[in-house]
Amino acid sequence: MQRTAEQRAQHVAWMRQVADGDPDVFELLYDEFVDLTFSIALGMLRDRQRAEDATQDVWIKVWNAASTYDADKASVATWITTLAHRHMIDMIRRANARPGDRPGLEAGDEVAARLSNSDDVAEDATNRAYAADVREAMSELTGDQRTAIELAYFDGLTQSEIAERLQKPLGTIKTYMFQGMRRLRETLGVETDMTTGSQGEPRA
Amino acid sequence: MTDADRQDEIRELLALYALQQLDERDQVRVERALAADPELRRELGSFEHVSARLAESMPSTTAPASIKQSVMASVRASAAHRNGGTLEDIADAAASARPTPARDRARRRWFATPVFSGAMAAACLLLAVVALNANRDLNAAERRADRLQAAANERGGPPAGFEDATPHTVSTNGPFEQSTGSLIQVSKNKWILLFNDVPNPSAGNSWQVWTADSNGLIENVAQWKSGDTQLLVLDRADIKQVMVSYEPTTRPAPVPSSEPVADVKV
Repeated sequence: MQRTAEQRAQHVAWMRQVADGDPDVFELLYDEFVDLTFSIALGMLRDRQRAEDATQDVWIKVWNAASTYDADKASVATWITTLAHRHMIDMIRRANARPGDRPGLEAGDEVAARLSNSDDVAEDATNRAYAADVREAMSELTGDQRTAIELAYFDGLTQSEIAERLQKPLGTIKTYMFQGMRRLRETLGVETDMTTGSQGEPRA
Repeated sequence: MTDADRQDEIRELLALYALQQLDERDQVRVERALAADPELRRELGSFEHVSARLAESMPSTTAPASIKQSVMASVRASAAHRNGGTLEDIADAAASARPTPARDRARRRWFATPVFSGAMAAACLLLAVVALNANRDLNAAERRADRLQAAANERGGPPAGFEDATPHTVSTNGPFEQSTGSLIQVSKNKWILLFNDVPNPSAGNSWQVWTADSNGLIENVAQWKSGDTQLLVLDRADIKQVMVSYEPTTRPAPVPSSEPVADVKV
């Protein structure tokens, strides 16, 4: 979602007020971004109840960590998205490491179970419904680059799990991800110099 | 390997860092490099922005209203507590969340139960203990907690499972000596850890929270990079111990590297 400079500045102002402990402004921030964080949770966890619990946890983290937000490093949208994504990755890997959290699952089954569960999310790693600009950028990648990034980002697989799944050496997987991310950055027009006021948003 | 080679290698690792793909050793290497080089921090920001664009491009799903009710109840109670409000203020703030829609009432979230005010009273019992530790005003805090609980009971009593929801007081020492903390189990799978007067960690360090289950498995569940009041929701059925230790701000280590400054056994 493209946001205007005014919107981004408004979000930064909100974050400062949230860091000062204003729950009314926190509610504005919540209303602005909760659907984004819930979509990330549902897309990655593929379980509505777990996604609801995870979204709740993410927003408590936003409240507690607001004072650590640095507007020079990232936009508020990117900061919240990164925080939400990290939380989902932690949940996925924790569940995979602790199969007792899901009765009847053995270690390693969590990933397979989640990948095969499409009750809530119809898309799989090769058929995601991206926005037009991201779809175009993803189409610029090789098939292996795209699959490696999707399995890492959306499914929370580790490099080793991706290597095993794609039957490629670990070093090759790292190369796919690095080259793919650089290509995406270039195609999406994201600049590395974020001192010009864009705060991490792509150039229009 | 030359410095330039090392710098190129770190740049490659940044993309993987943004995808949460580094092992602990490489995470530490990257975070050390990031701390020393603003150019690398900008580069990481660009990769994090790419990954955020991937997430934002996914089909949007509307979040259920019950999440907001639960989050805002916690946040308003936390804000009232931070601002030194009375227990009544905190209860009012927490109870100001809108009623739960009927379709969400079957959820297991504790704030979403029909006897919402009972849950709030239980939370206030926890806050009462915190206030009690801070003020040493045992009788007054007990009377307030009793009044709140009695009021909740008049409206239908505490929700199932809350009858014995006694807060566990956290032992503190060293830099946490002036802090007060409590741990309360609010449902089968959910706990709240609440601290006040947490000191600010020095730059590059953080307070890290750990849980231990009945098998002795220790897990890092949070990093606090700031002080004051800290509220943490723990989604665990099996918690036997919660600890806080002082650690460098890197990705979570497998176990604490220093003696805990706060500790509570269940």
